[in-house]
Amino acid sequence: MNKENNAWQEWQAEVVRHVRFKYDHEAIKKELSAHYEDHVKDLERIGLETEEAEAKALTAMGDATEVGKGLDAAHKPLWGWLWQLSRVVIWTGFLLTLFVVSNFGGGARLVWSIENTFAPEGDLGGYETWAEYWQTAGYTYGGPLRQHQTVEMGDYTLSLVRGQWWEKDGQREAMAVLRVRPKLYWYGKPEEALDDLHLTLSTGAMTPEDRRGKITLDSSPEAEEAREEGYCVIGANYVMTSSKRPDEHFGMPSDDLTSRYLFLNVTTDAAPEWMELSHPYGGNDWAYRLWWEVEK
Amino acid sequence: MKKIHLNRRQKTVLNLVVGILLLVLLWVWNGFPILTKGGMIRQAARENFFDSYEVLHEEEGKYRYQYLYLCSEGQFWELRCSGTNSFTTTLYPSVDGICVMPGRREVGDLLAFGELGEAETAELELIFPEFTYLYRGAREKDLIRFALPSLEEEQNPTRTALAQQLTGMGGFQEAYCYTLRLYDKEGTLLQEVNSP
Repeated sequence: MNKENNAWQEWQAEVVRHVRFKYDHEAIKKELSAHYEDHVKDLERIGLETEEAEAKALTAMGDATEVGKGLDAAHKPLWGWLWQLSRVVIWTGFLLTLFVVSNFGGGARLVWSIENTFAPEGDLGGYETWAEYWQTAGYTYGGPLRQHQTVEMGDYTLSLVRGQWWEKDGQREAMAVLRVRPKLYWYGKPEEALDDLHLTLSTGAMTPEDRRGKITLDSSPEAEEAREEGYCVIGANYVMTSSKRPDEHFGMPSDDLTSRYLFLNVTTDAAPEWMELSHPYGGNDWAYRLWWEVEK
Repeated sequence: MKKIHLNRRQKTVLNLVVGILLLVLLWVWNGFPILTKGGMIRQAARENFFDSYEVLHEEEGKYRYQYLYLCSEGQFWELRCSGTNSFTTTLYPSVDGICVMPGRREVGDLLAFGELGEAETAELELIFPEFTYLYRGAREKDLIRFALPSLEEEQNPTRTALAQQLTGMGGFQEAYCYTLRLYDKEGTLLQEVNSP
């Protein structure tokens, strides 16, 4: 084809002059050129001279104004701009996602939750390990802990997964794995409220007035001291003590896709029939009771 | 395999859908961050086991923290936040539906909320082991504000001691013993409330 084909250049220019979305001009020219060149070649193949073939092919392309208006209707600026914008959004989104995923470890919680849901560890709360420990330490198995009933704490439900108590020289150790189930997965763990819980024993050995009745979360600085002094401790991070990753359980969230898990450890020298967790503020008129059953 | 041809409109819609999915992925990956102030307050209320809340007052404190004063089912509480991040919630006891909480605008501010009735002015007698201090407060919409007199007005050791007490102690609800007296426009005593 004659590269200096002015008639064809003018025809193309006239066509794109009617297309308002300028970003498509080059693509339109390319497309039209392909059609035009194919036609010219076909005409040359049947014996026409190049110049004659070009003239015929150009005539066959039609009226430039009509073609331009038709193409303008097909390349509306609104959709053109929206499409360009959506491409920018998608690329920014991909880059941002790559950056966040590679730099921020927030997703570890989600991955951990999924793993805990679909491949839960067998010994939730290290329950069996604790039992072995108490046995080795000379404790006698007292019996299981049984819940009176699950309680609704606003948008959360509190229930017992498993619990047991042990005894040695009048000292009793109870441990329970509790489940805090939010109505929706993305509701956070109610840490501050859990930290405010009070524990009352039927023997009165631990009461809200006696500071020993106050729950201490294991994430708080007072937890270790409290543990040593025999206070009751709720462990928020000790539940998923996965034997698969024994070195990684500290600080790992004890979550699965439905619940958060807590480990309650109570030390007392009394012999209670039950113990109750309650929240001392506002309209939270619930109490969660765990019975200390005696193994017969 | 047959190549699927999409027109520009379909491509745009597809891109937007993918973009939304990416945003959701980012939101999930970052642990479901709260995006609005209302959402943040709802979350704080939920995590304190409250079903509902009413924002009574809001003010800015030190380090540009926002302090929201709220009431849920008769329980007064304070939420310290910045933007859409909440940091701490503190619950305060009330007597006869009236609650005295620390103000955050200036050191030493105290605020009374709740069933204040027609009270226009008030006296708050703070009782410490070593001394007592009498605040005078004035009505501001739904609250009564008690503020320390400025240094120009009163340069005495009591003010310094009081400021130390107010800033040095961990929680107002445990630290103070007070008597609150509410007066109407004419100065008639309407009610006297003693701290729990």
